[in-house]
Amino acid sequence: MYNIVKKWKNEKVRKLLYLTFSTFMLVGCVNPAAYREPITRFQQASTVVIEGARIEYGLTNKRERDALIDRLVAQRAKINLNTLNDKEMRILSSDGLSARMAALDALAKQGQLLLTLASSDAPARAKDAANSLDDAIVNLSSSLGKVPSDEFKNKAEDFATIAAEVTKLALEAKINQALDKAITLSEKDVLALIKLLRTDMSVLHERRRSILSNARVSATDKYNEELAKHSHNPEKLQKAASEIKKVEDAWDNLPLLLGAGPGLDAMAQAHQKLVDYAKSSKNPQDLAELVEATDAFITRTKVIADAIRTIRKTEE
Amino acid sequence: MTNNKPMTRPDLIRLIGNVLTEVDVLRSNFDRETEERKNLDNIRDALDTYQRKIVRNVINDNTAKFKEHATSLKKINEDLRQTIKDINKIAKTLETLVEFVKVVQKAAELMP
Repeated sequence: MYNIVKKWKNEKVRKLLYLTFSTFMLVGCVNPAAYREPITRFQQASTVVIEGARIEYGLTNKRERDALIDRLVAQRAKINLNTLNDKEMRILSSDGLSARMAALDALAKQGQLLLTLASSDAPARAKDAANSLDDAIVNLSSSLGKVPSDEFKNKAEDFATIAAEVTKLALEAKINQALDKAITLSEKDVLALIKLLRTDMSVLHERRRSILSNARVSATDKYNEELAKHSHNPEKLQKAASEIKKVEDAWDNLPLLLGAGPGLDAMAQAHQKLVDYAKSSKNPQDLAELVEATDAFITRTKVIADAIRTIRKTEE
Repeated sequence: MTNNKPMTRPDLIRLIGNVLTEVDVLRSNFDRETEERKNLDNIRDALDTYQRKIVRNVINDNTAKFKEHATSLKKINEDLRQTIKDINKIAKTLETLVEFVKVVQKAAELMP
């Protein structure tokens, strides 16, 4: 023990210890700029998912309206505006649609703030991310005020309440408290909300399947009815056959057209990785895993973006 | 979906969708003026309307009533599997489908 103390007093040993400690510090801390890449990637991928969900939600009502018109045509029934205006024929009200869009936007902003809070330059950069989330929450709260009470509204309100507390702490530069709260928020409310939006997407896909299934019958009916005519028109028959092919192509592609659903799965997974990172010791290895996770998120969303483009092309 | 797992709202929507697509395959075998086709068209319209309603609205899938209807639907769906692909068993299929629609209607009525 005496020897150690004696050595400790030794200037050279002290220098050596200082160097060793500094090296550990350098290895253990990550350059603040390094965090920007996963933040940007998370942002980019979230934008794709949000856009996908926006298209899916937006097309839902159009799809129902078109299906109604097709049904009335098949029944040789009159079409009037009262029927087309019937709210029961729509899946989502415009307020419901806005609230979901606002929720997705706030979710993405929350992910960005969480990541910023976890980065070593948080005090300098958290304010922007907090302000951005704050705007998104104001928009979300305003949208939620217009929708009737349901599971989505309850979950989104829970999320908005805690997210507002996170932004407040971040704006007050209470970084550690804000980070702890953001982690709690992510683990509980964010994932629950993403799951709910995911369920939305899966049931909307079921409506798409039902509508397309009906279109298959209408297409074959047209062909068979023309064929049954005493002197059938070859051109009309050909046109009807082409329509069958088109609908059957869409039917075959249906499993690929899951739209934003898988995107939300990817978003939930990426969010979980953000939480894992925020809770980690944040060494270079942790950061490397985070970069890998956000890369995977962006790769998955590229595939999803292609599917969304196909949906748009088919249905718009 | 295994038989032991409790049915959820998305499961119910999917089950209705599965029956709808099978009804459509069956419908396409009949001319539109036939009695069978008209019956199938009516069943299709009813199921489509209920599916849309259940997608549009919230339904509590944790209530005893919902679970009771879900159990009935699973059973009726099993019966339906025995005949729906056989065009010669159309009478029995129609009977089972009417039963299915009745229970779907009861489940949809649980919505607030």
